Amino acid sequence: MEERPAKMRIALAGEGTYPYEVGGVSVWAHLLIQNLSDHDFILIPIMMHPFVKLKYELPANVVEIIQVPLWGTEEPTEYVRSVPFSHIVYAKIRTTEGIIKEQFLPIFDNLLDHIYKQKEDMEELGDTLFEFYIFFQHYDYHTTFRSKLVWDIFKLKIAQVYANIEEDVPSVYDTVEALRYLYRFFITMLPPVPYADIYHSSAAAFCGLPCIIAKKLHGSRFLLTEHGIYIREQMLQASRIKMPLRTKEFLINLITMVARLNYFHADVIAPVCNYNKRWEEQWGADPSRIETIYNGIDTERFKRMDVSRSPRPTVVMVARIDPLKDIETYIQTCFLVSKEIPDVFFKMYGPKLDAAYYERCEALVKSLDLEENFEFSGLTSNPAEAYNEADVVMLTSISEAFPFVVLEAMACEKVMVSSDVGGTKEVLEGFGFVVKPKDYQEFAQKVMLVLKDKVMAEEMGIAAREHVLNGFRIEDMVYNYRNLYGRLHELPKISKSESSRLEWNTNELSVEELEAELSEMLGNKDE
Amino acid sequence: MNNIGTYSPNGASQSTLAQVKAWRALYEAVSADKGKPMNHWEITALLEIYGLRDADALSEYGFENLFELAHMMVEFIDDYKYEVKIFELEAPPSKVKRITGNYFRGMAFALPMLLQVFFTLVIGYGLWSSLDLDVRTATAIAMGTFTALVVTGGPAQAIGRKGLFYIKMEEYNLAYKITRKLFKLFFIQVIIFGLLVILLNLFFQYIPNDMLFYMIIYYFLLAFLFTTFAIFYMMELYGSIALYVLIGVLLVYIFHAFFHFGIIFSQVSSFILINIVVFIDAFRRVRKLTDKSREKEGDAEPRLSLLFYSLNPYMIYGTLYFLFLVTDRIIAWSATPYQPYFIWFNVRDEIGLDWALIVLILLIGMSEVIIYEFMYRVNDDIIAHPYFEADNFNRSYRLFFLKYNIIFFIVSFFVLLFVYFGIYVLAEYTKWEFLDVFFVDPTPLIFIIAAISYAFLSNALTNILFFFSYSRYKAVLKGIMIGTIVNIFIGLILSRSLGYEYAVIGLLAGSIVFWGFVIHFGNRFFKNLDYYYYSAY
Repeated sequence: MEERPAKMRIALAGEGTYPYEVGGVSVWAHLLIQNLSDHDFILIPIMMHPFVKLKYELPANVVEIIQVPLWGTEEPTEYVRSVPFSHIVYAKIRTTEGIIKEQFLPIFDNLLDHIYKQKEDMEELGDTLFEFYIFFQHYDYHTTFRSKLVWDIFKLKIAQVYANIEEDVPSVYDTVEALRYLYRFFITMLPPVPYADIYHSSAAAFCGLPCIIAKKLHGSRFLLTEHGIYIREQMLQASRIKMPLRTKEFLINLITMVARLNYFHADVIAPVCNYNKRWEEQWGADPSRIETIYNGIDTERFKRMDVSRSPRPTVVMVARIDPLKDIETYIQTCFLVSKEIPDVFFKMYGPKLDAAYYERCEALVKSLDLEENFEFSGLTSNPAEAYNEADVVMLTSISEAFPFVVLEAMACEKVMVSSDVGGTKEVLEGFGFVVKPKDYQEFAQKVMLVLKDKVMAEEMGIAAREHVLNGFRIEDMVYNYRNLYGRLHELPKISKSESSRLEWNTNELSVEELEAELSEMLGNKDE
Repeated sequence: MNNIGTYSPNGASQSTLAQVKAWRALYEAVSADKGKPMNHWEITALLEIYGLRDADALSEYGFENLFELAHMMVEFIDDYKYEVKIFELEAPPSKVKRITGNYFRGMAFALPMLLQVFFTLVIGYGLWSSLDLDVRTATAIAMGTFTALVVTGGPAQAIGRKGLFYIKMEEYNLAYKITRKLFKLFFIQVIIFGLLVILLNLFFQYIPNDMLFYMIIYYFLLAFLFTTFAIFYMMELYGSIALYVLIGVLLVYIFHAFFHFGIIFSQVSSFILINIVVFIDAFRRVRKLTDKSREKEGDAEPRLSLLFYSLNPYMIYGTLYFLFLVTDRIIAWSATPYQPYFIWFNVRDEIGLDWALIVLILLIGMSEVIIYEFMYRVNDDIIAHPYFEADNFNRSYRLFFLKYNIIFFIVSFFVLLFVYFGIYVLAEYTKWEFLDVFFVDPTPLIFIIAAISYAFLSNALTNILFFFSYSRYKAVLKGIMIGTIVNIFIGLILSRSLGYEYAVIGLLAGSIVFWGFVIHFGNRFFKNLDYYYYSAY
C-alpha cells in the first residue's frame, strides 16, 4: 500500500484560479495554505490553457501541483507528468475498437443518460464516473474519444432525446460541439488522483470531479467551498455569448450534472456566505451538510492609516472595470452627489478588463460633464491606501458572492455603501449601507448622508472595523477551516465492503492486474 | 399561446393585464441582447444581474422570490426571437476574385521552386543550381540538395504543424517557445547527420573529398535555410519565402556578374547572407507573435516525449515525401554503368524532371483554391443541417470531393499540354538554343511521365490538406510508405533492365499507389465528414 504521510494532506482543486490567476478565490486559497503551514497541500488547478505563469510564490507546504489544461493541447496527456511515457504509449496501443465497445460504451451511455436527465441517480453517476476514471488509467483518452463508435452512439443518443422536438432542432454542429465539450471538460479526470486525507474543491464544478474520485479511490473526505455559484455563472456566460440553444443545453446540463454530483458527494459544503445556500439548496444540496465559512482578511494590512489624499470630500470604489461591477451607477451617483456637493471627488480604482465597457463609462463621464469630479485612477497595488483616501467607499456590483472589498474597506474604518448583492448584507447590514442594485438615487442619498454627517461616519467606521475583527479576520477563517479539516479527518473511513470494491491503486499494480481488476469490477456490475 | 393571463403564483391573486405587461417588459429588459434562455434558472440569474432581489420580486412583481418570478417568465421564452452567434466569419469575396486570389496564394507556396527553375533557365544559375558547373560539382551539389531536403522534410512538417496549431489556438507564447525548441533540436539533428555523412565517407570513400566538401557545404546551407523557411510556412508567409529566394538569386547575380566571384563562391556567399537575414527575420516575427498573447510568460511546456510522439507521423511523412521526390533521380543517376562514382548527375533526366516540376507548381495553386472553397461553406453547412440530416451533409461533401478531383484532373491535362507546348512553341518561334535540350531524347519522355506523376502527386497533396487539417494521417503515412517502396522497386528494376530514363516509371507507379491510398481514404473521409469534423482535435 502507498505510505500515507504523517502530516494531514489536503488536495486543493480549483478552476481558473490559484496559483495561476489572481482574484478573490486565489487570495483565499493563498491565505489558507500560508496559514495552515502544518498541513501539506497538493494543488490541482484546472486551467483553460496550458501556458500559464505562477502568480503567487508558493508556500513551502505545497508539495505538488498537478496541472490540468483543458484546451491548447493535441494530446490531453501532454501535461500529465506523473504517468510514464511508456505507459501512455502502451495505453494507446491497447485501446482497440473492441475494448471501447465492450468497456467504454456502457460507461459513456450511462453518462449520457445522466446528462440528458434520463437518469438522476447521483450514487450511480458517481460510480459511473469512477469507472470512467479507472478506464482511462490504462486506456487512452484521446483514442477513445476520437473513435467512431463514440461518435455514433452519441448521435444515436441525440436522435433519441430529440425525437419529438420540432423547434430548435439540434444541428450537426450542436452535436459536434456538445461532444467536444465533454471531451475537453472530462480531461479533468485524466491525471492519476494522488492520496490526500481531504480533497477540497473551491467550486461545485469540474474541479470537484477528482475529489469525488479520491473519495471512492482513497476514502478521502470531500470538502466543497463555493465562492460564486458556478452553474449560475456558466449560464450567464452562455447567455451573454449567445451560444446556440442546443449546444448550450448540453453544456448547461453537463455543468448542472457535475454541480449536483459535487453537492451530493461533498461531506461538507462550505459556501463563503449564506446567500449561496439559496442556490445550492435549489440544486439539491442537503441543508444539513451546509456550513457557511466566511472569508477573512488581514486586519493588520487593512486598517485606518494616514495617507496623502485630496482635501475634497472623496468617494472611492475598488473594482475591475466590467459591466458586472456596474460602474455606470457609480458615475450616475457621482453626478447626483456633485449637484449637492460640487467639490466631491469620485475615484475609480481598478483594471480596465473590458475595453468597450471602459469607453462607454468614459463617454458617460464626459456626457455628464463630470471631468472635475470623476477620475479613473487605474489599477492600485495598494488597496488599503486607496480605501484610506476615502470618506466613503462604494461598491455598485450587480453580481457578487462575498466580496473582499467590503470587508477591507470596513476594516479601514470606512463607511461602505454597497449594492445588496450576494452575501454583502450578511456583513454590512448595521455597519454600513446596503442599497438596491442600480438605484443611484439611493446610493447618492446615502453617500451624501455620510459626507455631511462626519460624526456618524466616524462612529460607523469604528463599529465596522470592530465587526470585522469579530469574525472576519484571516485568523477566524483559518480557525474555521482548521477545525473543519480536523473534523473531516476524524470521520470514520468508508466502510470496508465498499472500499474493497473501490480500492484502486494504479501505482502498485501491473497493467495485467489492472485489466483483470477492471474487468472484474465491470463484470460484477453487469451481474 | 401561453397562459400568463391566468398565471397565479403562490398566494398572489389572479394577475391583471397591467401586471402581465410589467412582467413582460421586465422579461424583455433582462433578456435583451442575450441568447435564448433555457429554463427558469437562467432567467433567475438574468434577473439577479439586472439588479433585482427576492425582496423586489415580492414588492414590485408580487412573487415570493426571483425563482418564482422566473418560473412564470418561462412562458415568455418562445414569444421572442434570439440572436445566435457561432462563427464570426467574414463573407467570402466573389467567386472569381477568391478563386484567383487563392490560386496565386497557393502558387506563392511553390514560387521559390519556380523562381529557382526560372533563373536557372534564363540566367544560367539560381540560388543553388547552375548550368555552367562541371558534372562532378553538379553531382556533389545535387547530393547536398537531396540530403538537405530529406533531412529537413520532417522538421519542416513538425515546426509548421505544431507552430500553426498553437497560432490557431491563440497560444502565441507556446508557438514561439516550441518553435525555438524544435528549431534548436532540428539544427542539432542537421549537424549530426552532416557529420555522420562525413564520417561514413571517410570510412567508405563513396565520393572523393572535394565532392564531399561541396556536398556538405550545400547541405548545411540549404538545410539551415529550409528549416528556417518552415517558420515562414508556419506563419503562412509564403510571399516572404519567395522574396528571400529572389533576393538570394539577385545577390548571386551581383557577386558573379559585378564582383566576378566564381559561381560557387557567389552562391555560398549569397547563401550565408540570406541564411543570416532569414534566421533573424523569422525569429523576430515569431517572437513578435507573443505580443498578441494574453500572458507574457508562462511556465508549463508540454512533455517533450509526447510532443515528439504527436509530431512523429508528420515528421515521418515529411521525410518520406522528399525521399519519394528524389528517389527516381537517385535511381536514374546511379543506373548507368561505367560512371566515375555510384551517382552521377544526369542532365537529360534532370531537365525532364525540372520541366515537369512546372506542372506540379501550376497545380499546387489549385490545392489552395479547393481547400478554401471547402472552408467557405463547411461551417455554414454544418450549422444549417439538423442532426437527422447528417447523411445529407456527408453526401453533399462526397459529391464535392468527386467534383473537385475530376476538375483537378481535367485541369491537370490542360496544364500538362500547356507546359509541353509552351516550351515547344517557344523553342520553335524564338529558336533559342538553350531550349533545344528540352527536346533531346529521352527528356520529352521523362517530362511526360514525370508530369503525369506530378499530377497524381499534386492531387494527392490537395486531398492530404483536408486530412491533415482534421488531424488524420494514418492513410497518408501508409500511402507514402508503400508509394516510396513501389517507386524504389519499379524504378530500380526498370532502370537497371531497360535504361536510366525508365526510373521515372517508378515515380509514376509510386505516385499512383500513393494517390490510390489517399483517394480511398478521401472517399471514406467525405462519406463520414461529420465524424471527422467532430474528431479533428
